[in-house]
Amino acid sequence: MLKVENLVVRFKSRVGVVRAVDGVNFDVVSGERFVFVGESGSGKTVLAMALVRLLPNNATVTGRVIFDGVDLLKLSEKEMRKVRNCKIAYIPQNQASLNPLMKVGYQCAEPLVEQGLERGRIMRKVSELLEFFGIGHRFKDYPHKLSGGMRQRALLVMGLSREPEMIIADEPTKGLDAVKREQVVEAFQKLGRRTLMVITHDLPFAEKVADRIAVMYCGKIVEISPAREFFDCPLHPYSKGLLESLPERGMNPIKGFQPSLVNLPEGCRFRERCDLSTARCAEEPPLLEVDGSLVRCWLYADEMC
Amino acid sequence: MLMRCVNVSKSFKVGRRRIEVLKGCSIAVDEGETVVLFGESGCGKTTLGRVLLMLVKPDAGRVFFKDTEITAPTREFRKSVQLIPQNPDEALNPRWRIYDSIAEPLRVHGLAETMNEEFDAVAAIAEKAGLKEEHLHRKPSELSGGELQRAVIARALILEPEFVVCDEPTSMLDVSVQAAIVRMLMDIQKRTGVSYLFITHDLELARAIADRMYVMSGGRVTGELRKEELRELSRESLIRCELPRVSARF
Repeated sequence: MLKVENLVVRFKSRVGVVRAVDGVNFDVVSGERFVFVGESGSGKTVLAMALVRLLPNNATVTGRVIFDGVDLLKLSEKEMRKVRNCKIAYIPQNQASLNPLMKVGYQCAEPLVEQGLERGRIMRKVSELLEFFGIGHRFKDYPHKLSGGMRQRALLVMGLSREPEMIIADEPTKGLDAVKREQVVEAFQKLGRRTLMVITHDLPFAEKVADRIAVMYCGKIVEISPAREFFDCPLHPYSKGLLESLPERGMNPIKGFQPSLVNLPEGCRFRERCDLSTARCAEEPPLLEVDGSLVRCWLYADEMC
Repeated sequence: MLMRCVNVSKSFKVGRRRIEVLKGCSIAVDEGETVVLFGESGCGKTTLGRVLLMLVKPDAGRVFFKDTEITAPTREFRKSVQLIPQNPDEALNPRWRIYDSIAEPLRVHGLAETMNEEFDAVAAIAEKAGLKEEHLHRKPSELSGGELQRAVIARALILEPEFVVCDEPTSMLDVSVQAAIVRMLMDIQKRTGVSYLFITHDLELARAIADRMYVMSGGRVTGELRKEELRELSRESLIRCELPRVSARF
């Protein structure tokens, strides 16, 4: 359904060129729930925004983003608007992205007004959707009256109102407490078999939602695995480190700091923090296929030959 | 008991309404203990933490530090208790170098006589907090979230306090950074015997670090759990806050 080939996003900044996304390849099958995990600064959000072309002008995007056979990066702005309108819904990270001066219900209705539906039908549809996610009684409230979890669900309603073919949600559980996170998980599980791409650093949330997990580190995908395999037995040393730093799995931090994106180490980007690094890691490892997973690590190169 | 509050209440005026944030809370923290204060957002955790530090004056109830009642914070009290706030981005003066922010408590209390002494103290605590010397000369905007939180922690611990309220110090950070920061806090506790009141809404984190846990809900302390009880509790019942009511020890 969505196929991304060699996507590179560069930003020019005072200190040099920042390679926020560096040669990313993946595809999302129709009906799949594809989750990106990684630390902040790994390029997840930039990647999502590049897919729907919402990045500011100082970003250069190259590569191909093929959605239903069309390269989104080659569309004109007008055609792209249509795609964002009714094919791909992007749900932004910041719950402050709701208009503070507009009541939630009317705000969620905006995409439908744009579509040109008649008023009665619009209101009925929005109420139904809000009801479905358990915030029907909040139709006529302003966003500041809603809790973080409710706002996240309102954003989800807004994204869903045009029945998009695909939803891209950016950090839907950021800053929410356990109870509200649970509500958002429920809301996502209610979506049924819709194609979903979620970006998150919340691993327990990813575990509940994902069919397949992609791990990003410093602008590159280091592992793509089916969700169950990923949580049972991650392949890449970084994935292991990430899981082991969870409180329920011993809370062992990964040593060192994430390198700056301006000044990346040669070869494997995780090599300086990796316990298993060898001389070969000075060379960039390819994305290898191991038992239905993809992993970017030399450890698995020998098993291949 | 190192720190104790009994029947503390606090309400805030919002517009024409009065909102009761704390409705008679009693908690206690022992020396060298890590006590977790757990609850949903908006249940009054932060306010209770601030009341203990006398950053917010309670309407009713009493606060004791080492068995002396604190009515107005003295200089000595201010020196022995510290706060690690939730959001590291807003906790440091954006126009100061990290070094000055960390050294400020020393200057306020007049503890370093010479520049060299001050520098040594800052360098020592920064190293414990996992900061490199190059970080000290930067401004907050030039540091990542995890590094900023380390700076905030260094600033809170430079006076060698006996009691620290950690107000969700890792909720804005990634899990891997969270693990590093929490490990560091625990290491420092082992070395100095400082007590933490750790405010969090993350169950798994609470379970991993707590010696004891208080559960708050709607401005009341609704339960107290010991480490063993906490371990046995299922995740689901914790999420729904369905806790065995444990009578408080007062």
